[in-house]
Amino acid sequence: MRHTKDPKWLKDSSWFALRVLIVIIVACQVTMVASNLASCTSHGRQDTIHATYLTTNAARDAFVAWDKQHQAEIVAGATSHDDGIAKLSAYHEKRAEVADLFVKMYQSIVAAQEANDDLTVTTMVNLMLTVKTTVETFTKGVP
Amino acid sequence: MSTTWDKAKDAAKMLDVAIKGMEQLQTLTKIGGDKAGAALMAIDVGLSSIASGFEGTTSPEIVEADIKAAVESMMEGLASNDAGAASDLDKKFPT
Repeated sequence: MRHTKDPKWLKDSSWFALRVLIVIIVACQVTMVASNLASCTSHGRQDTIHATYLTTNAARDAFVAWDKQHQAEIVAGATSHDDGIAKLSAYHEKRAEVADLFVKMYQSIVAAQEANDDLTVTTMVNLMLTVKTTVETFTKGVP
Repeated sequence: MSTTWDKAKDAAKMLDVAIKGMEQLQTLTKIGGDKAGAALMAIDVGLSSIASGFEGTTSPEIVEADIKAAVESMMEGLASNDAGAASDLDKKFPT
């Protein structure tokens, strides 16, 4: 139901693909820069966590939208019902790795929120970089 | 629960802060030329500008319920996509 309320520009598939990259790349820059500030101020730490949370959500929404588009492309290219099932299953298997990474990303945000050290923030930011790399690779090279 | 549009607006605010900081950073780095020390000083100033951009914004604590909702939103979205694809496949190749 949430998707039916999205503005028209949010539904444009090519914009979504671009948005995945833009949001994640800039998000990484924000979180990396902000993480340097985290040790300087208590606000900096919370801002870093909050920025990471918001940008992870944005990246997640973009990824889910891209997933919808990609599955439609798989169905469009299927030569038979069985072929479509096989190709969708293969895709779901690979996609699960990315979904798991997003879950780990969120878990790292919780860890950073609950702890009071630099390690959890650093881990969170490094994981954000992994998410960026993985999503970039995945959206360019999936079956 | 905030809508996708709300979240997009929040993200846009963060991007705006980042872009302003990056623009200032670029300008200051040019002024500093190739000298590493000047560049480092410029980076420090750029970071400060980003820090000041953060000031005044509200950064609430992320509670476990937020994370649970965020993960569920992803899982529901992917499940909805899967169901849509399966339905489209059935329509394309009716049995």
